[in-house]
Amino acid sequence: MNFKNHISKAITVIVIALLFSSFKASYWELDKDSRATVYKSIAKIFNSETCNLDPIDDTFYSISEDDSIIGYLAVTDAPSKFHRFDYYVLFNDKEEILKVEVLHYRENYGGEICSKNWLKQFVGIDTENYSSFNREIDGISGATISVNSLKHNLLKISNKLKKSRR
Amino acid sequence: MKKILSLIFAISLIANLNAQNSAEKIIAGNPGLHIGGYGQIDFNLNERDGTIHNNGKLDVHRLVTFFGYNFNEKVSFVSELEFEHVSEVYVEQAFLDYKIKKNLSINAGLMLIPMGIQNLYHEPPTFNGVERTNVDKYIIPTTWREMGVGLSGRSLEHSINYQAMLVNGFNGYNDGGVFSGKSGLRSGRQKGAESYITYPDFAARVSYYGQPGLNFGFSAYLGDSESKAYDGLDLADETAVASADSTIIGIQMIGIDARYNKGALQLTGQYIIADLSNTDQYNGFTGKDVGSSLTGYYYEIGYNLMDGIIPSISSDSEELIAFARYENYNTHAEVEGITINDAYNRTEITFGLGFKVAPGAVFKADYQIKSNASSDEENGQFNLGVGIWF
Repeated sequence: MNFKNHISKAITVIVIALLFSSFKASYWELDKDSRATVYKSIAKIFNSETCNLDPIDDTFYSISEDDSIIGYLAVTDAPSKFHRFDYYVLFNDKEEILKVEVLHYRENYGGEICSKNWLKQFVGIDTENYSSFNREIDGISGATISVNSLKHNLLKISNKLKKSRR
Repeated sequence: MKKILSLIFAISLIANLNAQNSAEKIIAGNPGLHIGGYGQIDFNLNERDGTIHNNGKLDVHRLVTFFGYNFNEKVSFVSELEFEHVSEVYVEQAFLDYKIKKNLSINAGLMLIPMGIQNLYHEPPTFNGVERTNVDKYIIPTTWREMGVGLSGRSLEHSINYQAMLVNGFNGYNDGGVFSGKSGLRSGRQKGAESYITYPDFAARVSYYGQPGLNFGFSAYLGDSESKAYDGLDLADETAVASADSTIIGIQMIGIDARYNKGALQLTGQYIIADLSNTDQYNGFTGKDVGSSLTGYYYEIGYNLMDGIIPSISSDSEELIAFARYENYNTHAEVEGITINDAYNRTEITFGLGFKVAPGAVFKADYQIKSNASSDEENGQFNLGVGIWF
C-alpha cells in the first residue's frame, strides 16, 4: 500500500468537500421544483438555453450570455401572516421587471397572490414612484396582508438592484 | 482505512451543508410560536321609537387571541381563544395542519366551516361596517365552527383554493328543539364544547381567483342535524325511532360570493340559500317554527376616498372607505305546515365610513335602516366601532 497515495486522495476528497461547503447553495437551488421553475422561466423569458447564472450576493444573480449581462434574477422571501413565502423576480438589463412568480406559498390564507394574472401587473411597472406603484397594483380581497407584503418587498428588491448597478 | 474515513468526512460535510439548508428551509417557514389576535369594540345606539327611548350600548364585543405554533415546515397548530362581551370565553379554532404536499394539507380539530365570506374572513378590518352582516349571522351562523377532519389545498395552475371537511352537525334537539324560526340554525352550533355526533356532515368550498381583482367563491354544506334523542335509543323500538327521527332536520346550504377590487373600488356580493327538510315533523314534535328554506343576500359597494380622488386627503398608508350595502335575510323564505312570519323577512340598508389608519386598525361609523316585511316601520341604528387585527 502506498501511504502517500492515500494521503493525496484524502486531501483531494477534503478539498472537494470544502469546495462544496463553501458554495452556499441557497434554498431554491436545493429544491428541485423551485430550481426547475426558475431555470425554465429564464430560458423562456430570455429565449436562451445557454445563458449563465452568476451569484452577485445572497439574493441577486446576473444572467449573462456571451459575456454580456442580459438581465438579473432575484430569489427571496417575504412574510405572509404567520409564514414566509418564496418568490423570484426576473429583470432585464435595465432593471425593469419582466416576471414575478411565487415559488412556495405556505400560509393557508392569502394564496391568491400566486395568481399568474395578478402577478402580471408588476411587469414593466415603474418602481421609482411609490405612490403610483402602490396605486397601480390592484388588491385582492382576502389576501391583503400578502399583497402588501409582496408589494413592499418587491419595491425594496427592485430599488436595491438599481442602486447596486449604478 | 484512511480512505474510508476521509470519504465519511466528505459525506458528513455535504450532509452538513444539506442540514444547514434544511434549517434555512425551516427559517423560511418561520418556525415557532406566533401570537396574534383581533378585536371589535362597538357602540350601538338605536333611534327613539316615537317617544320610547333606547339606551346606547358600549361593548367589547369580541377579543380574540391567536396562538399558532409551527413545529416544522409541514406541521403547524392554529388556535384562537375568544372573549365575547368580555365575560364569555370560547375556543374559536383549534386544529392541527399537516402538509401532505406543497399545496395540500390535512386539518383536524375545531375548524371554521367554509361557508360564505365572513365565516372565514371575520376580522374587523376585512369587512365594512361596525357589525358583521346579518346574512352571516342568521343564515350562516358566523362564527360557525365544528369538530372534524378536512383537506385544504390550492391549485396555482388553475387559480383555485379548495377546502372539504367532515364535521359534526348542529345540535338540533337537546330535550327540546334548539332551532327557531327567528334565528334559524344559529343556536344549534356545538362549537367544539362536548360536541356529539351520529353521522358526519359535509362542507366544502372552492374559490377562484384567476381574474385579477376578482375572488369568486362557491360553498356547500350537506347533512343532518344531530339529536340527543338518538343517544341510548333502542333501534328495535320503532315508535321511539320514529319520534327520534322527528327531532332532526336535513340541511342543504349553498352559497355563492364574489369580491372585486379595482383601484379604489370594492364590490362585494353574497347569496346563501339553505333548504331544510323534515321541518314539518320537527316543528310538530318540538313546537318550534323553523322555516323550510332560509335565504340571505347582500351587495355592497365601497370606495377608498384617500386613493387620490380628493388630492388634499390622498394617502398611501391610510384608507378612508365610504360604503353602502343592501342586505336581505329571511329565515321564513318557505315553510312547511306552519304560516310564514313576515317579521322574519328582514332588510337592512347600511352606509358608513371606515377609516383605516393602518392595514390592521380601523375606526368605523355607520348608520343602518332596518325593516321587515310585516310592517312599513323602519328603525334606525347608529354604530361606532374600533376594529383591530394583528
